[in-house]
Amino acid sequence: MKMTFKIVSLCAILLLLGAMTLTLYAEEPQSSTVSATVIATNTPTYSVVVPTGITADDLQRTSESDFVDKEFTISVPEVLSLDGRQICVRVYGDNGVFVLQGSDGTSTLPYQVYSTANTEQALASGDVFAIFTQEGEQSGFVRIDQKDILKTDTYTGNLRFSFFVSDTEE
Amino acid sequence: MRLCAKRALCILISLSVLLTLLSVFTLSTTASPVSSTPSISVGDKFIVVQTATGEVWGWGDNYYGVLGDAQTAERGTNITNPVQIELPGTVKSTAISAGADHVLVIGSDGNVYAWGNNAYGQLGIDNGGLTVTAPTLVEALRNKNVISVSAGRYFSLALTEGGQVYSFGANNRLQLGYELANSATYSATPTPITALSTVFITQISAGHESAIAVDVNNKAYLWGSVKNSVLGTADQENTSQVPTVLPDTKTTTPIDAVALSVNHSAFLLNDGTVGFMGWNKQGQYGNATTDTDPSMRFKITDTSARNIISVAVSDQQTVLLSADGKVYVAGARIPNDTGSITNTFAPLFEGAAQAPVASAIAAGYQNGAMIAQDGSVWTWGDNSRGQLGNGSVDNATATPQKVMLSNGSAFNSGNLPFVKDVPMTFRATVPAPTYAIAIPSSINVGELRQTDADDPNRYAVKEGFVIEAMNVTNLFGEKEIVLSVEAGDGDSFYLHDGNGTRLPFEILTEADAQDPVQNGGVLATFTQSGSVQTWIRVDQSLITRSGVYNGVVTFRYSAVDIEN
Repeated sequence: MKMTFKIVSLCAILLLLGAMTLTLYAEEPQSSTVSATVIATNTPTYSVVVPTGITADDLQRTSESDFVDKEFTISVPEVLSLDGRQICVRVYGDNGVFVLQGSDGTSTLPYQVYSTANTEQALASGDVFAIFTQEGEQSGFVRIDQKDILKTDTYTGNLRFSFFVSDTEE
Repeated sequence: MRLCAKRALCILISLSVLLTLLSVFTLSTTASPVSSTPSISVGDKFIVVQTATGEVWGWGDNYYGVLGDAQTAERGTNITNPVQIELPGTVKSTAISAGADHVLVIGSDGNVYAWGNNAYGQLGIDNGGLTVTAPTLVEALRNKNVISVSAGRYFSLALTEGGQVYSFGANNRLQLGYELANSATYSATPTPITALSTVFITQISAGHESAIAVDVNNKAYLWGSVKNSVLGTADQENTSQVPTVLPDTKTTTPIDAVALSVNHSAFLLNDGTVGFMGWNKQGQYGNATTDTDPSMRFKITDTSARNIISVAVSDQQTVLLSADGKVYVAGARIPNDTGSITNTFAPLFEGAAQAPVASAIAAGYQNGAMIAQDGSVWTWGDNSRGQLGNGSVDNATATPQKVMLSNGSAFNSGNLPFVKDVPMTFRATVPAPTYAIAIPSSINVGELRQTDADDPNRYAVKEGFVIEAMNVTNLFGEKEIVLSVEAGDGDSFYLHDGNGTRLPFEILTEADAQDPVQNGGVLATFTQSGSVQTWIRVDQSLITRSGVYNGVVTFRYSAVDIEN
């Protein structure tokens, strides 16, 4: 049941200078992750690594619940000047829900997102996926219940991660 | 004499089978993005923020329910710390604008939502002028492709993707840009401003009782009340004007942005300077002067060295944002407080060791506000209704205050999140139903004997086919295998003796041992593996001739959706 994980790579450096000047340098895909460094005056500097894609190509409908989990990892390998604050990582689905779209726009496939920090409770779109107060990584997984497959199709969508610095006590 | 004596007949029934398999599937839905650019808007006595995640938060005066209803904030009270205002369903805000006491939002679904005071129809909701205390869809703007909204004092503007401006609300000063039938002074029906129909508008700004729009050629159009000469007229009274282009006699420089208050209007020009019309009593022109004559037409303050990218105005001040995140203020930061007046553009955080870097500014009535790059929100000015958002009332201040949550931590608008989308591609299949149907290739009914028509034993019931559905899978509770039977010839089930003599027969099933299956009728349905027994019934009184009778029936079966 496991899928071939087809991965595109991209290495990016995001520079934030002064008042919101963003510069993105990209290289040819080489590895399985996206790397980005956020540098801002008067704000912390940190780099993040996110997967370039999450794929599965052998899902098949079942009569009873049959979960297929696709793992991923979000990491913050470098942090500077956090000064007691934290990097809050939130996860979002398209349109605020974890639902993939079929190719013809009429079929959908729901999915769930979990952090391995709490595999008992699925996250909702907009929930905090991880909090980093220093360098580290947090893995998670996307869970598909194959009984939810109602139509043969290729389902696509985006899992959006937002990173921002907030006060630790919040 | 009886024509027919009882005779023994041997009947052999042969069968042919036709098999058919069908599959049918269906479903439906939609999609769109999530994150928004954080922005802030200042109402008369309240402030609202759209966070990076598209949430809406607000604080200050909740008399008109602009901060939501009792569930999150009690009506008629001052809300001195930010509270979240829930949008319907999963809708997120992509643009926000506060009027005197109402709010407009463009949702992530492309619709406009409004709430607050609706006494003049400024929400675009025709409900008899009732206050609306929760974000509510403006049905009249559905499918209008609205890309910008601007809430004025008691009226509103909405700009469509096609460059068309809709207006609704109070029209006592022609602030809607057209006259209403019977000189009505308000309308809750969003209506296009036809005077602007020949130009493509790209920006709108609704003020106290006036409005300004900028077209794709960077020309400004002004309408509504000319009071205080905010529209550049010499007339300072409460007269009105229809949409009128800002003439070249005032400026030929392209206009990048506009802002409008009850007392003055500001135009960010393409050369980096800022032009003003209206009052400069508190030095809001920032040109080192103060004037008592509001009819100064169009005065330019040279701010070009500061690389200004945004301008906002309140009743007595002008706020500028530079490209490097610095905020400058001219005029009275606290209304009517001479001690807070500067008639030049002074840094908002003048003297601060580490001034927060701003990403957005706003001003309205008696307050100024900004969002910093770190997500913090700062306010200054009046605080009579808790609009500073720091947990207090009163104590107006010229010094920016950090907006705080009720738990004592700083409110964070989630500004400048680094956002990364991870594409997902899942290929999934629904396996086709699989099953096997076993049907005897033939059956031999056995011997029959002619009877009288009134013979109570004239019906011979013989065991027929046992039809078995085997290895049934992938029906998923949504499909069933339907097995039907058809006569091999004609419209009824007959056997033939080869000499032109026919003998009718009937097929009975377990489901109904009395009523025979009609030609083409359903013999059995299977939702799982199983079998069905059939019987052949012959009225022996219809036997007219001895012989061997043969016949053919056709079975058809397929997996079809179960009808609810």
